[in-house]
Amino acid sequence: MMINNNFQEKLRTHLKKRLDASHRSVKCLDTMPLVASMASISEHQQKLQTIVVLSNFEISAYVNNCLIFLSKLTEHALIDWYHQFTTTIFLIGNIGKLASSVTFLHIAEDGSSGWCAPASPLAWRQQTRILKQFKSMQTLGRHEYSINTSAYCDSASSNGVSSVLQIAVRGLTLNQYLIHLNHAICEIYIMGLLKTTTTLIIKNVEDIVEVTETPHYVRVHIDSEIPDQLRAYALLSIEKQ
Amino acid sequence: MRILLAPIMITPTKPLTPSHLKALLWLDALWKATATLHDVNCELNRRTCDITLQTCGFWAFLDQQYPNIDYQKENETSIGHRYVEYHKQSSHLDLERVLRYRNMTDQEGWLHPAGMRILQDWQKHLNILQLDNISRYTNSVLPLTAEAVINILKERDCLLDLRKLEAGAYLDFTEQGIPLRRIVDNTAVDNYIICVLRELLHKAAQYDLTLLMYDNALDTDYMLIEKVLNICGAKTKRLSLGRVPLDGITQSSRAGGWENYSLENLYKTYRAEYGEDAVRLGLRIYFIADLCRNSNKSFSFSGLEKAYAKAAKLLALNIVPAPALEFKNMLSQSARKTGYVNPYNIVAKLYSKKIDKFAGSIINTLL
Repeated sequence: MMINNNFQEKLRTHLKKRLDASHRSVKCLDTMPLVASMASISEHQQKLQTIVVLSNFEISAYVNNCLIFLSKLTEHALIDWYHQFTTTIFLIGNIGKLASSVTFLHIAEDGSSGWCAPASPLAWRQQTRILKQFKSMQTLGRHEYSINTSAYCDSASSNGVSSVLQIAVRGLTLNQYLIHLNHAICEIYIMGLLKTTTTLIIKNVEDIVEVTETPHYVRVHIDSEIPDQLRAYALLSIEKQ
Repeated sequence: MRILLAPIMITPTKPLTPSHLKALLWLDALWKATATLHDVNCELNRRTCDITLQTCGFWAFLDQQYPNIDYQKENETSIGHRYVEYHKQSSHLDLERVLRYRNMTDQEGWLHPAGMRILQDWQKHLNILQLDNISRYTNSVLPLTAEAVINILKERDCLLDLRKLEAGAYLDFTEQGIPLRRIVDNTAVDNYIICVLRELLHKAAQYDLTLLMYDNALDTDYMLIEKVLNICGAKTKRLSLGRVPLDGITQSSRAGGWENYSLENLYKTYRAEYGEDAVRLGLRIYFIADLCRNSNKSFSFSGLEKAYAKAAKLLALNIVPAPALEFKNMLSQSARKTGYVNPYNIVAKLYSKKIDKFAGSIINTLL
């Protein structure tokens, strides 16, 4: 893929903004190679982790349950989540068999996923011992999923307003996709961006090739295929229908 | 009482090493002694191990790297060296070829010429060591398909199936605090645990007892296999054997290190000196009574030679067997708790300085 230096610069600015919002020292972004600087930043942000246990995965159901889970967290927990870049560990397991060993904050009605409140990484030693990390080599195509978010919407005047969350799927395996999707959903919820919309459309696209100066939300991370480049993995725009 | 012995089979990819010989001698002695008390069958279907990726992967490697070998001119050692080489560089394997070989083996009982060559060498050893029962292995279609096993596991609620997400399938006893164990990988290929279950899942329930025999490195997997068999109605026991360290190192034969310890080296030169029967008995004394079930003692030629000398001495005494009923009572006592006769309990009697009253009967049973 052609490298567009202006686009890279723009993504770097967005990444810095996101790190600034979490009061992270981002000096290393200017002084160290990208991979090393991101590793250095993430080293200091491992204070909170949460686990999601999956026995199945379907995008709409996942997003719905993720939002219900977030709505059960306290305001304080949500702020911490945002500031500490809370890491989510995706494990596989049968929720019905874990009642005595895992305290879930939310369990999907069909039992396909279970969500735990954020805690210190040490809290999950037992779970990570008996369960396995979700690893799938499946790839995703271009597709759209519509999710009713009116339960999280504050204003009646927002009827008919939808937000579109694009996720760049080129080259991603399902578990890589899940990381970006989960981060994006959690952050747009915490930032209050669903308060003015009644529908969230998840749009899987090959690549996000344009990002405005002031997007509602953009998730920027190292490009998994070109580690010295950044890539926009998720982009939210809010549009009137 | 009907007992099924279910030993893990040895893949025909390398020479038999002292660890393999130990497993074979334990199986043979256990089988013969327990058969004096009960109706004993032994499951010796080669196909459970011939269809594993470990085996088919090696065969695919051989044909990829060495396409023009006449395996009749090779032997177990030369093929074993290639097996060690395969494990050092198996990452470049053509999976399509591996699965094609696997399918042929699974459906038709196909064996690669290298596998056939190794089995010929093994047969020779087994005949010399009078392990006749064990040498009569079968190569039969497995009673269940992998899919049938997976369906049974699902019905019994011990399967976590994420195959449609290309994320594998797992034995799931997490409610008991036991870690998930993958049995189907991300590319939908099942592993050896499924192969064992394909053979045993229905069969084991037809016996009063199924004894699972395996190398103790597989303890965790066999504990899970046992759980599955139990919930499908089988009564089971497990008997794991420790590997025999060579030069102080305990490792799989895929890592090499067995070159000086071929089976032939263990008995060939001693047959003339001690006689055929003394070698046969001496090997049993050494591998069952001296090295025990889980000893960390390294294999030693001097220890083996002492056992040959002991065996020769015992045989020279022409010990009269004890009355059959008394002997049977002794064996029953030994099998009281487990249902089977632990070979150590009887072979150790040959090791004592004083001649045991059952020594003659034990020798007759073993040989």
